[in-house]
Order: sequence, then C-alpha cells, then structure tokens
Amino acid sequence: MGEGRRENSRARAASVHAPAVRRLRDYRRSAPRYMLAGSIVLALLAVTPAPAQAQFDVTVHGDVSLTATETSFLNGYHDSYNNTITYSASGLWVIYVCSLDADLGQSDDGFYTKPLSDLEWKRSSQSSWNAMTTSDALVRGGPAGASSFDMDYRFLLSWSQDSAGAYGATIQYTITAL
Amino acid sequence: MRLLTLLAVLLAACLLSFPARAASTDTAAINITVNDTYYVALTAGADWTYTIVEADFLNGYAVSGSLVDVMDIAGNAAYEITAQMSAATWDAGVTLQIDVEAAGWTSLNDSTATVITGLASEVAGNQDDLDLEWRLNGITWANTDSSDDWTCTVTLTCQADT
Repeated sequence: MGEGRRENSRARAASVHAPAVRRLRDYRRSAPRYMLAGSIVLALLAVTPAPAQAQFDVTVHGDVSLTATETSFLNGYHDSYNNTITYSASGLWVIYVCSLDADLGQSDDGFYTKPLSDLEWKRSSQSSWNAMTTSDALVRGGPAGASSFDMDYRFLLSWSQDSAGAYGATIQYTITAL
Repeated sequence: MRLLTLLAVLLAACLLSFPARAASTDTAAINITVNDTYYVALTAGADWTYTIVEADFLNGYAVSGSLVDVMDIAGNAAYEITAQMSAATWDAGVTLQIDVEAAGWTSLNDSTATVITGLASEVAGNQDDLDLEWRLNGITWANTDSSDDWTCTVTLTCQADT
C-alpha cells in the first residue's frame, strides 16, 4: 500500500514537472546551435579585416575681411577672389556650402539689417554667382583624391540701402561621401 | 534555427561592409566693413543747354539750375566738389560761375580747379540731390554777337571730406 502511494506520487510529480523538463531538454539540445551561430559571427568579426574607415576632410581658407570703397558702391559690389578650399576623400565626395547666420548683421545705427542674399559665392572657375543661404548648396563633387579649388565671394552694395557698419557671416563647408 | 544563424551571419557581414558615412566640416568668416563718412559719389545731370533771352541782356547774366546727385553712405557726410571748366571760347567779358546749395557764386575758369565744399545733409544710406546753378556773366549788348553759340564742359569731381 505504501509502495503504491509512492509510485503514484512519483507519477504525479513527473506529470507536473514534465513541461519544465522538456524545456530544459530542448534548451540543452538547442544551446549548442545558438552557441555555434554566435561563434560563427564572432569568428567572422575576428577574422574579417575591418574595412578602412572612409576619410573625408575639408579645410577652408582663413577669414576674409574686406573694406568697401567708393568704387565698390559705384560698381554695386565688392569681390574677394581665389579663396582656396582644400579637400581629401577616400571615396566619391561632394562639398556643400551654407551660412551659419541668417543675415549679414546690422548697421552701426541699428536701423538696417543687411540680408544674407547680399553675399554671393561661386567657384572661381565659374561665371555665375549664387546667393548664400542657410541651406547646404552643392559646390562640387568628384572621385577619391586630395586637391583644392578656389572660391569667389561677392558683397552686393547699394548707395540707397547700405549704411555704415560691419557686416558678415560665418560660412560652413561640408564634405561628405556621395 | 539555421535561418536564424544565417541571418545573424548576414547582419554581421553587412555591418562590416558598410561603415557609417563620414563627413567633415570647416568654417570661415566673410566680412565687409562699410566705413562711416567716407563714401560719396556724384552723378551730374544732363547737359545744360540754355538760350539767352532778352531779360538776360537786361540783367547782364543768365542763370539756370540743374541737379547733381551726391550719394553718401553716412549721414551728413561732408563733401568737396571740384569743378574745372574746359577751355571755352567765350566772348570777351563772359564768365561762368557755379553755385552749389546756395553757398555763393564761385567763378570758374579753364586753368584752375575751383573747390566747392558742402554738406550732404541726408540721412545715412540715401542719395542727396544737390541744387546746382550756373550763371553766365557778362551778357551785355556790347560784347555779344547777334547770334552765337558758346559751349564749354565743366568737370565735377566729388570726394568725401574725411
């Protein structure tokens, strides 16, 4: 009688713990596979040489400081030519330019704000000017390599609008992989 | 299971094959200074053509006005106008004078530049219309032909009085 009760108890225990046992059994069976997959990934990471990090660098000429003259006003503009941008790129690249300032600043008397559009740019090899904006504008692109090119800047001037003051903007060049 | 393994391998391969896009930036300041009380420019008006009338003979002179644009950047910029007349073939006794902004008549001749100073009393950043008057003296019955043409060119040079 006592023996029969023990057997019943074992059977009940066995039926209660059966799912956990199965999970443990499954885990023991599948663990080697997960470990194998993980090992393969790690091995690939270890043996595959990491590709060289793409390198893109741009260096902008120094600050440009101009002083308007009577001739500037008679012409309606004052230019700065051949400001060199140097770059190096390990792959296809593009360079953008934009202004970090929304305008060119105020006159000394504070009554006039010179608009950003009065600053224009172009590559020195080009003929048409582009108004500077706060959005990236494509300057040029090319294949991998290191070289330089020149930029021109133009301040538009007007007798009837401009007054005495110090005007300008900080412009940013960005080189990025194409 | 094999599919999971394959996906893991492919993911690792993709991560290794496509490094993050690289970029670099650099900046520069582009500045321009517009100085105070320095810039003026002058634009003369159209040629002045005048026909002497009887009243001029009675007065002894002929006067005509014209406008000259003086453009200044700074308010109240002092300016200096230099006027010089080309060699003119006047009749004897006929002379030319200039008056700017009613500052007083100044004689012009063809050998010496005449300097006229003034003040462009405009607000900053505007152009100023200067009143300019010409006076031809010596219009008399005695020294004037019944019919004649007199011509001369006056060169005006304007600069800021810095």
